[in-house]
Amino acid sequence: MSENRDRETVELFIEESLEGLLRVERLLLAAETGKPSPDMMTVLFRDFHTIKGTSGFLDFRQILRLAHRAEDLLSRFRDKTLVPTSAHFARLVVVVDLLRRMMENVRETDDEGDLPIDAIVAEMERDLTEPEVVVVATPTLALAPPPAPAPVAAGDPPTPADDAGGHRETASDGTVRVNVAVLDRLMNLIGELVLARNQMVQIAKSFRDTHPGAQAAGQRLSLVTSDLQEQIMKTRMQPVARVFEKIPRMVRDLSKETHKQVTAHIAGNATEIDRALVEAIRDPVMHIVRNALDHGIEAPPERLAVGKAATGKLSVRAAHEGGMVVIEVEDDGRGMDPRKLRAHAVRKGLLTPAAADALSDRAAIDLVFMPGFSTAATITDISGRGVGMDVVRTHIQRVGGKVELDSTLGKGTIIRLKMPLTLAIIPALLVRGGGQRFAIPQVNLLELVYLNEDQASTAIETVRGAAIYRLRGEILPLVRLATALKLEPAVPARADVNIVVVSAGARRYGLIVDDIHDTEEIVIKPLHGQLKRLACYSGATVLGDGGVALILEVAGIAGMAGIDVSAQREAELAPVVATGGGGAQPYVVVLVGDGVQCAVPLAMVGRLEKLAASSLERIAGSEVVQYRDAIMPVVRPESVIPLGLAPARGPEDEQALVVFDFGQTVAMAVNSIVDIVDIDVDGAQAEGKGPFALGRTVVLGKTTLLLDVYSIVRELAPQFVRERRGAARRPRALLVDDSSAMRSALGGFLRSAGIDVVDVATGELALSELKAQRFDAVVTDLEMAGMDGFAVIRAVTLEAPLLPVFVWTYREDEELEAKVRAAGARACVHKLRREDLVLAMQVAGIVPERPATDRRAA
Amino acid sequence: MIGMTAQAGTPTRKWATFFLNEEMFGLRVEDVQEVMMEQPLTPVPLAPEHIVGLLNLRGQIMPAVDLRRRLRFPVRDASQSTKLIVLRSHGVSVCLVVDAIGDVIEVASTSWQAPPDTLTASHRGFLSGICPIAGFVVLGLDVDALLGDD
Repeated sequence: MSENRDRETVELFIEESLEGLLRVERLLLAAETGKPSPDMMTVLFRDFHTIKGTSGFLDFRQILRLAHRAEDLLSRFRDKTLVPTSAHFARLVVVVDLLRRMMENVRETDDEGDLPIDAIVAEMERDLTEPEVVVVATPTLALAPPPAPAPVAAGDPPTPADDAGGHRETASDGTVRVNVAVLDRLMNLIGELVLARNQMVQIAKSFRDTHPGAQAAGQRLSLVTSDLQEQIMKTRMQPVARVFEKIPRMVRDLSKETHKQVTAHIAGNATEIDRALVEAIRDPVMHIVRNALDHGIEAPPERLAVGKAATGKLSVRAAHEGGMVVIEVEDDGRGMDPRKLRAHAVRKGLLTPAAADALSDRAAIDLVFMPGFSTAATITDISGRGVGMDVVRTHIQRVGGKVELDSTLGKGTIIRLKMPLTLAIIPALLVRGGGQRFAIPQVNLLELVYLNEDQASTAIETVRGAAIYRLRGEILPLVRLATALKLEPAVPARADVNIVVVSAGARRYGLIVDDIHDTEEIVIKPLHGQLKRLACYSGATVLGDGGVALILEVAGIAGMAGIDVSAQREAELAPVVATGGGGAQPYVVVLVGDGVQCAVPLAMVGRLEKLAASSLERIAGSEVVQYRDAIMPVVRPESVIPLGLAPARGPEDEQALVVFDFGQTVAMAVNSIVDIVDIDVDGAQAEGKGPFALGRTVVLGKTTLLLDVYSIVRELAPQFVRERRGAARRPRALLVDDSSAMRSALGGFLRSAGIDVVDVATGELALSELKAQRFDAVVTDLEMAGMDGFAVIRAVTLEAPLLPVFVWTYREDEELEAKVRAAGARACVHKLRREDLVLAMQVAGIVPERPATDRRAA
Repeated sequence: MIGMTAQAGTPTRKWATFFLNEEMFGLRVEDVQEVMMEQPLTPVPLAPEHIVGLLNLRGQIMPAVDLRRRLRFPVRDASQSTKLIVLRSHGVSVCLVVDAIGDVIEVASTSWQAPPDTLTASHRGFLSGICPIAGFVVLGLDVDALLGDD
């Protein structure tokens, strides 16, 4: 067997050939009715030519032989050196049929099988050598009714009539065209039938005693209904092959055009998806493939230079995964360069340089989804047409899907489209809000959080009127469903709280509902007229009990509640996102220094606090405050910006703090908190701009300095701002172990996980390294001469209180782990489980999570 | 029967009539899919006031428009019963909430005229004429107009 013959290529070959044969058949039939199209011979020739070429590549010899002869014959017709007769066409019909059967064989057994093709091949060879065989002189073809095998010699190749199996699926015998409206109507009716069935089954139960047969009949009705429902659903499904079939051709053309070598692997052609979704994904998928070829995969010399194979690989896969259809486009090209993306965003005026700088690599890569990011400057003719990834994302989101992007510089890019199986039926969570039922599509659901009375009173914080909940450190804005929809709140008011955590775009928020019911498969019915314009609903559905529930559009609700769903969360946490006409954003206005009015973006603020001034302490030269059992650094803007000195405070005075969350909390000491106001950043004057300020504007009648919180915190409490957001460098770990073999083994492992490592043999050396440069983590052995692991932990804690220390050891007991943790280490990891160390670092936020890289390595 | 008023030879048309605030309105019978007793409706929060809810009619979900609110008539008492008229136009269905259903009557197509200016000004779009002979107002059927803003 040919080494080229992998399953995917073969599947593709079959698809492509069957499609070609269908076309050939149609043309031959048209010729029979006397209306041959002028370019018919060219088309016929090309189809046989393709089959011949691919079958040669895949080493299907019988198919090759048959297609080759047919091609020869057609080239004579095309070149007009032979006049086609009805006998010729009849032979071609026989050839089509034979080829089709061979394709079926290949599909089923991976082998073309042993069909009698000698006779027909001989016939065609005779045609080729004896041009005088021509019997019909008129070019108008009058073929005998369908495949007449008349001219075939006795000894007979099979004809379609012989094909008793009848399992072939062609347009002529296996399918009918049905108006989509009819299918939709069927869907509606089956929905009603399901409801009637439910009622029937209930009634049947109550007749159990008097009519023993009733329940059995009810069950039978139930089964048949479910079956019927499933089958009707299937009528709407189509294989993604309808989109994928165009890819190989496009890849071939584009690689030629761009002088690249690319092989396309396509898998999962048979994956089925709702017909409406097939249309919805077509353009996005094509665009992504085009992008991959144009921007992703390098030209052969460039690939060879970096040690890759000259031929690039593009994989397009479709699969069902957890009730969704996942379509993945992966290339092994150059990947995206976060630095270039940041620079581009700044050039386009989408972000301020500071904001761009503050983005993590991950967030920088997501910049491609920003509207207006893609421009003529980055787009060549190929990916061009002014469509960017933002449009791709919009399209996919519109049909309830998601786009995920993973890119590793130098390694390649994976783009994943996650689509619901069908537009018409989706799994959804039913909730109650304001006394009414609503459905939330599963695709928007992240998790459910239940807070009892006690938890609710403490866990839900209010930042000047806006409720937030801290979910594993992430600030989750809260929206009360009933309030958002202006419904009467539930009576009696409940003290416990149900939060449905949803994602809308890149943003998450918590939707507070009165009750959470079951998950149900719901049939989406569109809304019309003015209801369609309500951004908070994506449709309505009929529930199992016949009632109607509105389907919530979580992005719309977020928009109404004032949560910005379009901006990247990290971009929000970064200084100030230049709002391309984005307008005003809420700011916390504070007084700093000798009474200078300043403002910080509310989006960055975790909470506002007032503590006794005495609770601020100085440790190792820095001001800190005990906060919720942790030590939080305190920064004062006046120590980097000339704002004058803050009035002295006695220990009993109150100290106002603005608490920020950069993964770890940092507090900014201010004189007082004035208010929260919306500030239009665009209107700010650049005059006040400096390394720690973004500009000046007038707020509440006073000139107000917009603080660059990120820079200030980075300057004053560098260890608390993980530099990964700056992303200029990889995270750096200090490794302390007295065995050089272990240092080398772990060092290599960590480096491959994207962490820079400085390794030292003793605790003493470690301390001098700590003073010399900045680290994101310390990994230490326990048993060492001189300073042991515990001593290292203590020393590090003193030097840099929040620098995480990880202990790695061969010993494994809970008591030790407790001791280590008590000493101040973040985690205790067994030496044989190095991956756990990386995991622990990921949990601590030191190493960005990189599923794509992991998978590639696997 | 009022249909008698149609003169012989003039083409006639059938109208389904209903009552709203004690006034008679007419719809072309072809546009009426069915007439129903009161049904439970699912309210749509934030929807315009005249869209009083969604109706599930054998699996088909349609908005219910309270014509009294739509035409700015006095709102009926909670105790007053209503009837529903399901209309279908251009593939879109809508259900009208009215006070009561009247007869189907036949009138000559020549006998209706444009509604007075005062009427059209306030309800532009969906009242298309009046029939002085039978004494009722013809409700033109523009579903979008019924569902949309004033």
